[in-house]
Amino acid sequence: MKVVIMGSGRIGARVASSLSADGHDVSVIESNRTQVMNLSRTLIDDGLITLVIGDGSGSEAMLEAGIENADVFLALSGNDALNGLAAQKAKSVYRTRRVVCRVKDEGLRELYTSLGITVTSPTALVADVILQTVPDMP
Amino acid sequence: MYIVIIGAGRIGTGLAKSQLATGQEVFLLDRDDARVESLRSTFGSIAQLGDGTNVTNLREAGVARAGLFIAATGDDAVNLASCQLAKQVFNSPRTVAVVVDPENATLFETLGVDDVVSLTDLAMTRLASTVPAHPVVRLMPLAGRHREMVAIKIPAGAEVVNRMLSEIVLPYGSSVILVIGPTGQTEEPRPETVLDAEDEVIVVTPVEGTQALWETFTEMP
Repeated sequence: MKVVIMGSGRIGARVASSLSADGHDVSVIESNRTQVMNLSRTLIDDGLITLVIGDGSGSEAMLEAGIENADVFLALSGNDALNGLAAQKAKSVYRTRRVVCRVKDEGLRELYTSLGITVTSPTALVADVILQTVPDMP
Repeated sequence: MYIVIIGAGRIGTGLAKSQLATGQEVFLLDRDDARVESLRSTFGSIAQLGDGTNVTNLREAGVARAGLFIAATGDDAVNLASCQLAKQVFNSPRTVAVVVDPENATLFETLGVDDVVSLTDLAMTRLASTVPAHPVVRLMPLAGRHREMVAIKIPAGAEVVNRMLSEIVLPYGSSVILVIGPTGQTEEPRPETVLDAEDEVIVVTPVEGTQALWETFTEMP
């Protein structure tokens, strides 16, 4: 599958290398040059991950990353509003079939869900995992 | 009317002042402490520290009773998220977003923002009109951006010079709404109006007709 990821922070970089290891065609858009360090240099040099430096929600970067042929778009930057904008753009302009958006704020999570975007909240996930490690309480 | 403005930068603050002067009730949210304090020291409690993308902050600002919601931060993504929350959560009757990136203008309208103001487009229009021999200036989008109002200066020697308006074939759906002479005198266009070199015509046209329109008025014989 062709996957475009916006944001190469710790989460974006990790998702990118996992998907690439599974044989998917992965492109990553990142606006901040220092964040690029999170990505594996070898994967980029070997052409297994395509890196695009540019504005994550701008058409130029999205097109260069191959959004028009993408099966999946993952908005994984640390900025909720930017993720929301990029995700809606992928969905409504480029008709990407599957769009996932990382969101911290609860109100925005509800908003984007109501707009038909799959939302994932690392904060909520971590809280769930922690709660699962707590032994059953009477 | 009660107006909530997100972003107390130059645009938000300027707008708030002009609206207060006309007797409107205004409230601003901004993430910057200094901006909020400076507004409060001059105008009282019309501003509060807060985030336009946070539902709790929007509720406290009274968005539910606002007749107009304007998102005017310098961040397009924040402006979109704020307007969408105002619409979805608080049923705002009218939301307006400022955008810096012109390509966000049509996108935000399709995503439910009632009105989008593109700073770059506005600046480009003004700047283009200061160039002496400007060919065509897009004055403003109309009818949900399907049409636009444009100004075209007729060059000396153009084929349309000394022709009556009724003789000129315009692109489908276009109409001349005003003719401005070289010294600034305006003339309401009639079929028998004769065009002169250096006249400026103001035309409303479907956007796809703009190029053909420019050719019509500037083509040399």
